[in-house]
Amino acid sequence: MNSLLMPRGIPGINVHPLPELPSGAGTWDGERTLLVCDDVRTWLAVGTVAEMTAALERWADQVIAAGTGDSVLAIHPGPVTTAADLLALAEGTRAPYVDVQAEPPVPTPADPVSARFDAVVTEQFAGGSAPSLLTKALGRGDAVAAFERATAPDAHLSAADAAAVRAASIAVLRRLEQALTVIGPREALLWPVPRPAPDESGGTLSMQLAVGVALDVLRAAGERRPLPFPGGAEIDRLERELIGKQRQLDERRASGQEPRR
Amino acid sequence: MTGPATGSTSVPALPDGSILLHIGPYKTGTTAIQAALAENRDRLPAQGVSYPGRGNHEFAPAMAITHGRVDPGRSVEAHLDYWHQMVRGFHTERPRIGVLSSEAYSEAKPERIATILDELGPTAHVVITLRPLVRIIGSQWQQYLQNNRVFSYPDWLEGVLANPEPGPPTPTFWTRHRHDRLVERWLDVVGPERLTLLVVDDNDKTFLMRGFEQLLGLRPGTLDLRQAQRNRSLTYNEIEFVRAFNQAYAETGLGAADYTTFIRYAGMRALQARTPNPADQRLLTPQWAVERTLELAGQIVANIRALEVPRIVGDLATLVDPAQAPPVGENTPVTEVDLEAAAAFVGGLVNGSGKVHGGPTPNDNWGRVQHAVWQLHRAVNYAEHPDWEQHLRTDLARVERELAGGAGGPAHLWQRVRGRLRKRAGM
Repeated sequence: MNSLLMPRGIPGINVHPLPELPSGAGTWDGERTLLVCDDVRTWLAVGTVAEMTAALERWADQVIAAGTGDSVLAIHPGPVTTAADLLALAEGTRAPYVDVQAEPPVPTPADPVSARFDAVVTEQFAGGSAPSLLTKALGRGDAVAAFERATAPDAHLSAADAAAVRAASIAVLRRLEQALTVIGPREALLWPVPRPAPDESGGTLSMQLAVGVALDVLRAAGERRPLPFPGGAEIDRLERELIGKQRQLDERRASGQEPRR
Repeated sequence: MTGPATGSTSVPALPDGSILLHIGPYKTGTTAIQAALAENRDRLPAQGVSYPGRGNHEFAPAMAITHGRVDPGRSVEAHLDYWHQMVRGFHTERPRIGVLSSEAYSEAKPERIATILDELGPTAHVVITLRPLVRIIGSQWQQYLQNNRVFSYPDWLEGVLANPEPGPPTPTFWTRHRHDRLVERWLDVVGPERLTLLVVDDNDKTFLMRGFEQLLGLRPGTLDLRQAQRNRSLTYNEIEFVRAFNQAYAETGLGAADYTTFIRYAGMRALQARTPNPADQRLLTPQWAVERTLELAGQIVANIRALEVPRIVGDLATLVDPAQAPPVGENTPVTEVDLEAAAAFVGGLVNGSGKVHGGPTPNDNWGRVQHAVWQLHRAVNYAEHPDWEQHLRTDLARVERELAGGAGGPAHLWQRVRGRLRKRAGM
């Protein structure tokens, strides 16, 4: 038996209507707490740097207090619309699962700087098999999304103040990562800084911001899972059985009980 | 030929039947020579020379035979097999000269040196390329950062130059670059007649290629410098970005295997392949570090001279020439990175996912990201091969017959089964 707790009342946490999970769904044992976290810009009130920093700290205290025991903080901007997506998040993976038979979405960069970023990212891709083409397409989408989140225009704060709030949100994220299992695009929890002036060469980026984008892309690759497909469980079982029996045979040969040819 | 004091600028070709083992060490022009050899891999046999391998050089097999280990996430057995396969090729195909080149050999301990030379046989000839230490330090620091280290250049210099003995912060530095001890280690095992020192002069860009052409008895110009991609140094801005990335990576909980696949051999390579921003700072070496390095190099070169190696190509004095010093000074701290550099790094990182196969089983020592990518790749392969389950059942039935003591089957059946599965998966 297992159950899933989804506490409410914390800014940005489980704020959207959530679908019901079928009874017994999920592979965890016992009680798990799921904290689905919306984009920081939707719930953190804009104020002075000191006010925003203090609010972030208070928020982190609440999240950590709510997430005792087996818990997942799933950063997932926007609503969770299906039970399958909710289950994916509760399992500690990104939602939705990847349908490997569907065409991956192609990003549409929002401005010339994003377009330049996207173009240089894709310049690095060197052909590949069907599987790797899929993961590269998904990685490309992650890269553009992370870049655009990190550099979203911010009319409320000066560049210096935005950078200071971003630094505070990074510190909060580190606290959370030490206390809970955190998944999802971390950039959605970090305050954005103004993007470079839109020109064709792209200009320069804050080093710390560029690092955040790169890590988000790497984490996305590690947290994504394929949609379970019909017959997949049986194939997994057959492979495990085949590998196990072949190992028995190898051991028997190694011990001299079975002649090598 | 040559006396040990000054060396020569011309080199007699090695005798027919030789196996040239180039052991580096690191940062002595190895990438350039390996790229030139690899570029000409198909044309060299027409001149009697064999340079086996698949890439510029076979680093992992060289690591496997030298250290008995390979980079995280890779199979030591497979790479050791491949090394032996290359050597068997020399012995069975008998090229006029066979060539192996890897800086990994330079870290071999005496017993491993003996093993390597035993495997190669009595016609092995060892070549050590030497380059001014003062030109090496900056590149070597960058190399450490590309292996997930985080120290700043000044901190690292202070640690390394304090005492020229293997120890913190990077024990391998003086294992690699006490060139006197390196030469002595190999000289002791291989003997003076089968060892050549090739002293690289950064002011003569053709010297290295011509030296190898002469050793191998190749027509001049066969190893075209233009074909050899140089292992360009990163700019100070780029390397500080890498350093910042490494600091943040350490807090992700992701490990060495994922770093190797997605960063070291993917993101980093993409960064290196781009044309750097001309506005970026070049790495500057503090004056005190240049002076200290030249002082240490002087002691090292004196020790090399005392070994009286008969075959020295080039001039050992080059190794202590102050004119070889890199740009001197101290860099201004940087907090920004070129957007295109960041994008290239990210794109390279994503491209690295292509190196993760989608076969039936993951490698035991893979990292978390590699494992997740494998799951996705495998799902694509299954989707593209609806008969996969039937093939598995057929293979399983065959193995079960063998286990039951039936007619038996070929040895290494599992390798065959796995090979078939991978072939179907287009791996």
